[in-house]
Amino acid sequence: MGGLLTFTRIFDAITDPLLAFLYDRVNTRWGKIRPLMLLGWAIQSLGIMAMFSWAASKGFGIPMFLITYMIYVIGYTIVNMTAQTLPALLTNDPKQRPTVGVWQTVFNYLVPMAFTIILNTVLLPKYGQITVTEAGGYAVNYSQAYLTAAAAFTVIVSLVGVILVCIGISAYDKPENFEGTNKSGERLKWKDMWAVLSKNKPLQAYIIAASSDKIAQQAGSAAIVGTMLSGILIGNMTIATYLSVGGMLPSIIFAIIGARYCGKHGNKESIVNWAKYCIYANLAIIAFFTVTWYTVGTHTIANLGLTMVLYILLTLICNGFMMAGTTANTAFMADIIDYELDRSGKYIPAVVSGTYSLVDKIVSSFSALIATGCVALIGYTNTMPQPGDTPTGAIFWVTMFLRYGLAILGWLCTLWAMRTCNLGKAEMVEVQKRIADKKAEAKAEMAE
Amino acid sequence: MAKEKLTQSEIDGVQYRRAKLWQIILVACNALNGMAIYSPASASASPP
Repeated sequence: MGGLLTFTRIFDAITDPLLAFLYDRVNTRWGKIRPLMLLGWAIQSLGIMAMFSWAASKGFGIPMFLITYMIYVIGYTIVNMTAQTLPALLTNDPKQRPTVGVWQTVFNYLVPMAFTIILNTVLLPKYGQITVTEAGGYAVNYSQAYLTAAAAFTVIVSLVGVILVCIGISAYDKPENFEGTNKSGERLKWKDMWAVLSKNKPLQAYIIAASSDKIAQQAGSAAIVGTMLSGILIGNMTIATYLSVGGMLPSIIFAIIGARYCGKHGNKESIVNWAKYCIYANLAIIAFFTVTWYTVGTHTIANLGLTMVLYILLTLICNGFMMAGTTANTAFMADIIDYELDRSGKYIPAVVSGTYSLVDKIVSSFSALIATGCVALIGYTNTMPQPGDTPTGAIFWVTMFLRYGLAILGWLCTLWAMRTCNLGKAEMVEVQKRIADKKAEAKAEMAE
Repeated sequence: MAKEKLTQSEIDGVQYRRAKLWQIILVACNALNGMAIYSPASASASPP
């Protein structure tokens, strides 16, 4: 099973740069983006329906799961890769570019919330099997009927989303927006991909910065870390759920603050500054936990009082600062795409985002290993930490390291990587000027 | 007379490409695709 999961991870990682070649070659009379989005949706939906309905519960076993999962990954990658190129296409105004990420954040919070409600209150009672246990609780059986209904509902909603995206991007989905500034008009080659990775210095800095942040945040948000923090140290798992729901609005507010900050200071400067603020906020929460651990005890956080209020406040601040940094990251990727157009004369957004995605997926796949490895060091080799286990000093410090310390290391990597990146606010203005001049020159030569 | 606020294009001397708000919102609806697929997986993993 471990080998299977490893194979699926590797497959998921390599499809991004491979499908970048597909992105470069698709140019139809309906544009590039719309056909790719719809093609990707169709392939991904085929994978989903096969996995959860058509080929499910029929005894086909692992080979069929592997085939349907690979179909799903190809479809999902086409859609996702295409979607990542949209912010750069929509706008190059440095004040407007970060706002694209704000709206993505709003929907990224609202859609899962709406979906969970619909699945659990409409589809599950209708198609699933809910039984009352002897202890008076509920046992849920996710029957095949429920999985089929959930898969069909997901496919329909995702189609609505893809159609809305196609409508929104239609004005920009024109061949002239995908042209480079050099005159060769050559097709994409493997050496172009290598040139992007080896010569695009801002992309190199971004890969180091974003990957180190991601590996740290994924390790910190692993289920066992949540169990150790909320279930053992605090002694109340539901506090994490309340924070997750209640933290949505503050996160959206911080995304808006982050977008305004980017517009004023530039995306690269914003990434650096929010990384510093995140370090300070995480140091503050580690200090809070340390003082609480050695005085009144971390279990007091579970009860309404000063420690609970401080914990909630510091967590919302930490999460908010991270959200502001994420907004800057999204806009900075669009800047890197334009920088590549200026540097090489080629408009290759899928290559830029696909190259980053390949490295990111490989690096962040180690996050689970880090979390389980650290937990094994304190004695959890055959079992996992469970809510209600006795809190010990070892559990406390491993939790602090995985949840907050590793993230600080990630942000320190960001600061180190970004110190050599020159793609600040002023340089981006010059990049846009050079692109505009080169495009005007190319247009004039064609007219002659 | 109130001074008109300069646009970013006028400040930077570059003719920027700006999207309309409704276009940005519609493009963000890609979350209906990505999050729609992510949500059932996570909802099924944690019963109500």
